[in-house]
Formats: sequence, structure tokens, C-alpha cells
Amino acid sequence: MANVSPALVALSDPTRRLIFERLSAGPMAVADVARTVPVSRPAVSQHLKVLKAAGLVRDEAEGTRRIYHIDPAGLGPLRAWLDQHWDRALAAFQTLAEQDPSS
Amino acid sequence: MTAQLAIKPAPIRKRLEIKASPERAFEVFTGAMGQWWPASHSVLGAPRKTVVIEPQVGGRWYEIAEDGSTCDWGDVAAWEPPHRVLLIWRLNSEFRYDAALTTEVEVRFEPGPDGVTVMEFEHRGLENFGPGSDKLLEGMNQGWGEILEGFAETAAA
Repeated sequence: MANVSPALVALSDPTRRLIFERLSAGPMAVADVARTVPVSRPAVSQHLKVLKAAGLVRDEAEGTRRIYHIDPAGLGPLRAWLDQHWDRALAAFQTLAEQDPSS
Repeated sequence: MTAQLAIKPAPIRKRLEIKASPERAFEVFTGAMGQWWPASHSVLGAPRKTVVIEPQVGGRWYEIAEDGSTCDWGDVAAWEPPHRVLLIWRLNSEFRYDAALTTEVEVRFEPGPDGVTVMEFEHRGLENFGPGSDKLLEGMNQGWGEILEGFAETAAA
């Protein structure tokens, strides 16, 4: 199968979608995110790492805390879905276009 | 949601080398879209039968389902066979047609080396989807979770 967008893989997990939604309301420190979702703090940190690697969120230091926010220039879920969709669609288009038209 | 206005997603850009003439590529892209568009994402409830792009500026771009119902996807803004077509995609983040939504799908086919056709694809104006992420996430939670989990499993394999 063709490449899967890391953003879609990241968002395929329901807890990560929840975390992403929380951050959509505004920047939050890791501890504050952990308070709002039903998983442990280390699990939240891990999920945030995955979201960050996928280009969906970014973080900054604020004193000793790390504050996460949606990446304003990055791949939001809609763009990620569209990107994935077009990859599939254009691959199928290419296959058909390259077929011998007389066959 | 005001935070969404600060997010300006980059256009989606793709470049492919098609082993076919620009004429063939243009014809398949615009005239046979129903044959290559991924089947799992029909806008209508009923299975898709075909996709039509009316071959002129202002032409309709729409889907026809097996039951005969139709749904607009958008329209044609530029029609320059075989080298360029500009389509306006008006399906919002809930995959419903919105006549007031404008995003642009521009496709160019140029001759490349060794008889290959270079295809440049761009889908832009994504910021016009507006605060749609919430609905998309909802949709993911409701139905697409399965599709996405399938992707994730395959990607991890």
C-alpha cells in the first residue's frame, strides 16, 4: 500500500484525537492536557510526541513547563486526509492513464 | 473558532511522471474520473456510478450514484486541453457541497523526457475550509476510525 500520512496514523488513535481536540481550544501544558483525558501523564506525553512527529502540534518551553499547541503552519487533519486521498486517487489515475487504451 | 483562522494550510502539491501522452492523461483525468476515484469515499449514500466533468469553463463537476441521484462536487474554472484544467472543489470538511466554498484543484500535463508526461497537481485554498477540523475529527470518531485504523495497521506491518 502507498505511504500513509503520518498525520493520519497519528489521528487514527482515539485518545490522540481527543488530545488534538483539547489543543484546538488553545495551548496547554502537558500536565493540563493530562488532567482532561482519561489516560496517565506518561501516556499523554507519548501521545504528544506522536502528534508532534506527525507535524500536527508544536511545543515550547515556558520556564520548566512544555506548552503544546496546534502547529499553525502545519498539517491539520483535513489537509492530512486530503493529502492521503489525493495520493490514492492520483496513483489510481496513473495506473489507468498508463494502460493501453486499445486493451 | 478564531484559532482556526491563524492556520493557513499549505497547498497539497504532487508531481507524477505518467507514461502516456498529455492528451491521454488529460482525457483520463477529466473524462474517466469515475473509473479511478477511490470507491470508498462516495459523497452520496448510494454507491457511485460515475463522475462527470462537463468539458467547458463553467461546466459542472458531479457524481452520479447507482440509483441515479447526483451530487455536485464543484465546477470547471479553466479548460485548456491537453495541458491544463482548473477545477473548483466545493465539498466541505463534512463532504457536503457548499456553493460558497472555493478551493482550487489545478492540474497541468506537460511533455517530459523520453515520452513521459509530467503531471503537476495542486489543491489550494485549503484555508477556505474554515473551522472544519472539529467536524472532521467527529467524523473520524464516528466512522472513519475504522478506515484510519486499517491504514495504521497496514503502515505498521
